[in-house]
Amino acid sequence: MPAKKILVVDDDPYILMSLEFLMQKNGYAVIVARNGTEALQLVQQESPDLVLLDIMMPDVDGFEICKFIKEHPTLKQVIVVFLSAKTREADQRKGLELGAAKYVFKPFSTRSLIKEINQLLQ
Amino acid sequence: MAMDEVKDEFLYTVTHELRTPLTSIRALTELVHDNQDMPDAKKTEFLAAVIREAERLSHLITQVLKLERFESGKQGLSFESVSMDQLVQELLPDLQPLAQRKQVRILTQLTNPIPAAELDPSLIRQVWYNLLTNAIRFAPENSIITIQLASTENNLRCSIKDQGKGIPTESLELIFDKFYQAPNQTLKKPEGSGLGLAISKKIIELHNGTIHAENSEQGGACFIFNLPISKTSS
Repeated sequence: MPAKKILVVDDDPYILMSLEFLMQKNGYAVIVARNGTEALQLVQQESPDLVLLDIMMPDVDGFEICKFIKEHPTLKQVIVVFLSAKTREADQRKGLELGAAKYVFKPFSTRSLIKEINQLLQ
Repeated sequence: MAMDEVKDEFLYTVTHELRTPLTSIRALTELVHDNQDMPDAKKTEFLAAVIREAERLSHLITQVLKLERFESGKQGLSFESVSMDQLVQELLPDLQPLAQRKQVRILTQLTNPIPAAELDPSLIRQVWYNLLTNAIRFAPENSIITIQLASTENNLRCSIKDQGKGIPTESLELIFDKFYQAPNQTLKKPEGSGLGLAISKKIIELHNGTIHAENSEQGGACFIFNLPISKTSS
């Protein structure tokens, strides 16, 4: 069975670097996007199984990307997991209402994050 | 917005900004710790990033405390008679390494002899430092940053012009707000704290001066600040 594909979206290079390593190490095929515009292109081009999505980005924010995915006829089954430093309850509620499977607060533990991702992709 | 709400909003933004470097530090150290078989080169790369992020975190904390001192009025000014031209010339060598990395040249132009002004040199040095590091960050490689100093009867006019892509018109005023990032930036930080311009504005206002940004006709951003030459002329 081919490796499941994960698109990691974050405008912070170091967070991107750590997530890329973590996902590859656990056997996933990883694609990275450094901003919202790149994320919108790659999600259509690559149809990943799961998107790890930052919210605050200077061009297109993560909420808009999630909305795009969930309203797209062929992409709506893509699993979205938000990773965000926005820790207000209202933001978390908004993320889940837009169809995300999880909303994880930054800073996150790589150990529990990978467990959650593994479960979602089982 | 009521004062409490402004404070809450600031606190929320600060904690949000602190979470980002903390996220990298936690994730990268956990990965190095949990993956004993990680190649040495990768380990070094990750640990170097941890060090940079820890530096960013402490810089951010210093800047937040600095801004708090200005805003609460706890920061007093120590006025001295200062030659602005000399102050700038003394500061430039500190910025050379940063400028050289991008092959950026910094030129200084004096439009007339600049009289000594009464100001707090260490705070004004911070303003120049903030504005010049910003200009270097946004300047294209192999470009020129121009500093102009001019004086009128009562004021000094200082400007810093770069040859970057300029600032979106709708952001010209907002960039002096804490943590504001212009929407045409594709990569965020990690160099800045997002507080440099807010701090600079506070310092200039404490001197009864003004500061603003505009886009020059040739393209590129231009930051201009005016300071009264003597305390009494303000």
